[in-house]
Amino acid sequence: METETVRLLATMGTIIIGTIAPAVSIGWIGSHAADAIGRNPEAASKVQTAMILSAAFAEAIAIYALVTALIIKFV
Amino acid sequence: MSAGQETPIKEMPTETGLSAETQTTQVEHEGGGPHISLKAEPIFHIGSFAVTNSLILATLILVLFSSIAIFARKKIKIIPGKLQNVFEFFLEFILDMMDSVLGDRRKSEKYLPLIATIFIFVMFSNWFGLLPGVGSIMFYGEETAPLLRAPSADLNFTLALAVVTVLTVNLLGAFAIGAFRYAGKFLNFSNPINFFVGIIELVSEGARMISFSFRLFGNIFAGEVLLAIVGFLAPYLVPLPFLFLEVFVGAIQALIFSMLALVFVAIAITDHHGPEDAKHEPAH
Amino acid sequence: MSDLIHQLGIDWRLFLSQAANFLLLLVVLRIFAYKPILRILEERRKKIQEGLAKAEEADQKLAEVNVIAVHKMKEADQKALDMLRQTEIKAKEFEAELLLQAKQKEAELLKNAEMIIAGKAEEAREEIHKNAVSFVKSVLVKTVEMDPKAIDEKLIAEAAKKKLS
Repeated sequence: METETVRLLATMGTIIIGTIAPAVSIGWIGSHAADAIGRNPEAASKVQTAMILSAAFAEAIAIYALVTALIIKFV
Repeated sequence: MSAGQETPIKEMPTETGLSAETQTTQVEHEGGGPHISLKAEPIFHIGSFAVTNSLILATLILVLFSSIAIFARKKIKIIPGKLQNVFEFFLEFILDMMDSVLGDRRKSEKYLPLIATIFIFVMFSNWFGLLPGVGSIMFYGEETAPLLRAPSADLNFTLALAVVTVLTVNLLGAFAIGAFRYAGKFLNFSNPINFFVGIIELVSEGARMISFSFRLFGNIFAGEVLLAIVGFLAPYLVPLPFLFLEVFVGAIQALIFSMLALVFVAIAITDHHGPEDAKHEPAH
Repeated sequence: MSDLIHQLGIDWRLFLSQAANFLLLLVVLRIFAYKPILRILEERRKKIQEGLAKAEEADQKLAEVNVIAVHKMKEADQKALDMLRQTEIKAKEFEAELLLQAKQKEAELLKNAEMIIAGKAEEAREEIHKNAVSFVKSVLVKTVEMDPKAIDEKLIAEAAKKKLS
């Protein structure tokens, strides 16, 4: 295989694998936050804050994967 | 994502026999494919400084909002007009959101300018990229490129916003609990574990900048690519749901950006010993 | 790395100008929008508070005034009643006085009338007496004249005459 092909495949693999975990975890976070709000609607604002924060942290993993993919692609 | 841009560059010279440099831009339009570029293109130069299309739109937004603010300033009254009412409603929304995190109206009012400006600027940067004409009106200068480009779809803009936000958050933290105490969060020589935690904190500040900037850039740029490709495949009515989705994503991303900045402010201004307290503290 | 930065289009001048854009917007909005709006919001809140406080005060005052008014009304009623009662009493007194006076006058009138009647009776008796004397005298004279022998009787009549005068 040429270097270019390997590079493309590596980029693809990085972004594919790197987005699986954040996708699952964001779904998990959202569902549990909805559960929590449903159980205790008065705490909605607190739950929301924690939810957005953890969703952002989970999403950060996907972003690191994106950055890594870009680095593999261009460097 | 730039594969579509790269392949014609490589293929065309062999077909036409012309040099890649002169043909690059023409090819994209003659081929009829959507114009997708990872970076913002320069429109004109001031000296050696290349002014890009996203910088133009960002400056336009700045001028628009500044002039609205300056001209509306005289009209601010106890009994609000329409514009003032809208703006007050928006500020109350932001203040309520801040109250839920900071738990104190005075603190909310103190940090309101940073959070509200981030929200406004990011949201309108996202939305302006969806306006008809932005991205579709071409400028045939030294390079053929769209005259305007959503600022959020340019990494310079998002990175600048992220760096400014993180630096401001750290400055606010230093002002709130004292520079020396605040520095102790990063440089702690009391024991090896604390030292290591401090180093991790320092690294996480950098990671915050990266995740801030790439989150916004990724979402908005992906939205632009999506709209361009859907518009290319089915130009009429089909892109409409995607357009709605992008409007929603634009608002949500602005909310997330400002919310995260707010949470980081809340963490930075609370005097604490470990990150555990800080996460619980702002929720009270 | 520099290749990546170039591919992503990161340029320090663009970066700085975008940062300057943001900071400029922050400063402009802070001076021209947030501060005045926050001040106005604060002012409005204060005004509403003041207005509410004033309304409450007014309500309280109104209630006080109402209480006072009721009190005054009662007082006035009381006074009017008192006055009525007093006038009644006075009227009764006056009536009694009038009655007394009327009785007195009646009595006086009665007395006068009695006196007049008594006087008249006296006069009548005197007249009757006079008439009787003259009648007796004439009767005596007549009898003397008719019976010349009754000189003794003439003496007796003279004696009676003397006695009467």
